[in-house]
Amino acid sequence: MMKRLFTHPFIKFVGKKAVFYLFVAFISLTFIFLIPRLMPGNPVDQMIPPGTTDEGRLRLKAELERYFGLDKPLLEQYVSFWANLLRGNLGYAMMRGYNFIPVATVVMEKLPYTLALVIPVLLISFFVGNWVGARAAYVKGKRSEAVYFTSVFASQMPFYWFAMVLLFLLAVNVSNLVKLAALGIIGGVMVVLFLLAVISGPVKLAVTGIIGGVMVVLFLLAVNAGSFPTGGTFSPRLIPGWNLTSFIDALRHYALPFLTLLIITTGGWASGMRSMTLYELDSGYILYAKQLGFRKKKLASYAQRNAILPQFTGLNINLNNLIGMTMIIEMVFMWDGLGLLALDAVQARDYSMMLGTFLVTMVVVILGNFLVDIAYAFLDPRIRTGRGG
Amino acid sequence: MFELLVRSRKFIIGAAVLLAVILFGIIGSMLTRDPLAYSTRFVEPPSSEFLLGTGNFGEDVLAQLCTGTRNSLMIGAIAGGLATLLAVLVGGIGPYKGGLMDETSNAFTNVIMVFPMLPLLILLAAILQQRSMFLVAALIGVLSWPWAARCIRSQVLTLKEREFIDVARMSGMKDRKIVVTEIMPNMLAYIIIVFVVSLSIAVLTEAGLSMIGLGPDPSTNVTLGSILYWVMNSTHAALPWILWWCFIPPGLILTIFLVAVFVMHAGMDEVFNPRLRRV
Repeated sequence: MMKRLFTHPFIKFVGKKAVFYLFVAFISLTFIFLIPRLMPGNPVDQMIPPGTTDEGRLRLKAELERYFGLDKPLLEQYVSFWANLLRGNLGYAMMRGYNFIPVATVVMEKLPYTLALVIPVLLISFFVGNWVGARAAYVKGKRSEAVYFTSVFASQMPFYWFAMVLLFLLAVNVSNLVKLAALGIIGGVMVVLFLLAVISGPVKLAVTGIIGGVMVVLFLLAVNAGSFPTGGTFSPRLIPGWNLTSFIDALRHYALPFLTLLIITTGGWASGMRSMTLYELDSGYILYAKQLGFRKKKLASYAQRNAILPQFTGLNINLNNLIGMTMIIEMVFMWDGLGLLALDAVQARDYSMMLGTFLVTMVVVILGNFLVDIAYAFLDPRIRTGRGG
Repeated sequence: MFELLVRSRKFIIGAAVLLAVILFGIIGSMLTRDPLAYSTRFVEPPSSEFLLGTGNFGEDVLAQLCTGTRNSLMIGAIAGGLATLLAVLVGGIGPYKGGLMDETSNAFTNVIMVFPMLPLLILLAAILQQRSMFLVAALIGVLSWPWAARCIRSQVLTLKEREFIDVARMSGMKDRKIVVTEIMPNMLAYIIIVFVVSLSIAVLTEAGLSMIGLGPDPSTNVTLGSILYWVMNSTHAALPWILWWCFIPPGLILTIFLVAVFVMHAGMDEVFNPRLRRV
């Protein structure tokens, strides 16, 4: 029984991936250890205030090196780096406003804000994008091309610039007319994209209509309630708590960064899925099934299932990209996550904070990749059932 | 091969737009004023004298836009070239030799692939204080090759098994000669695709890095990202988003450029990838 468990392909697959990601973690953490020690620009030199006398500089440097343990041999430093890491000690924040709080505490406090953007965007864009892309492959001619170009355009816009445009159109005190026009264009493009891809029956039309209607109402409410906030996580005068006011306030701040990331990632999935499905629809088994007289729905489900697998392998890379994108989007919207923390740390030249932020990002990416791989193993019947293809 | 490309509508349209963007950068930067010439006419909206208005220090936005396009493309070309070179080395030699070499290079690629590129770039760029355009290009190039190496690896693996390579090997050709005379000509189109896509990724990345102030020094280097940086850090407007004439054009140029590369790439894919061939 035990033996069968361990030789089951699914368990074997997961085990292999676990070993791989542990290896990646080891390499990346070693890399983080080496960066400040090998790169030009000694962190200790940058901590010494300008205007220090030469003698003072030398003494301060020796003192700081002793404090950070940089005077010990490299191997000993490496061992204590791991010892500290395993105890969850990432050093102390040097930058202003953080008063020597442990870096790990600060980073863990900011992490949920970043994940609150990354996880919903990743999941929603994956499902919506692939759905739109697959539908776009079935409709022929102009409508298909229109969906294709809309999604390509959405995915190829520079995300940071799109964030600025959204801020310009929605958050600044431009006249309501401009705002409405902008909302109309954005909402219109999204609704048109959906309509073009979807209309094939009264039920779906109704569903799309309801979604579009809800979106329009939401947008109008948002416009009516005043413009979107230009940045931050909460309004300055609000004390965050677990109540409705804070929730709505946070939601209004959340809307724009979320929308920016969602539109851009959804476009990417949609254009990829369209070409994958088109390719599957052209392949032999579908043509054969068509000759046999299978219903359209059946054909679609066959093609879609084969087209989604390569998309799933793209989820890894997409996650890695999305984390980086989110960090920059946070800087634009002043969203209080890891990205904004990284920018603050960079500007304050706080090395422990910079390395700590990157370390946690790396760990999140590795865990995320591992989860995606496990999900892939579940979806691929060749791995799940253990009967190789 | 190139006759096929010319028949692809997507490729032609994409290439034409790409060429227009390149010409805009090169010729435009010759015709316009000095992009770093400051004046006292700060942040003025477009007028007949300054076609796209003036920036934070009273500089001509149109001139900045042209020079920025040129510089961004240059950084992209250096970074893309470097990434392509690394990808060909890592993704080409290993699989061709096979065995342990292949496994090592593949494992190496897969490990680097997990590294999130943008956060790593932010970290490295922040540590390197003096950043020239070349340094930023080199950083981006060194970090952005893994996906390309993977593409090239799969291509080399299929090419290696073809009969004409076997024939060449049996006729006693040296490895180096097989690579130069048999494999390279068949890979050339593929490598060009990889280069063009690497270039577009590098341009997008550079502008993002520069926008948050981690690109080449924004006070002496004009790139598309540095224009965005000065908008974000403007001292003339409480909310930088009001300076639409400063930040809409560079983003539009970027969007046009990226869409053109994507469409061109899609066109090339349809020609070279037998799975998608429609021409």
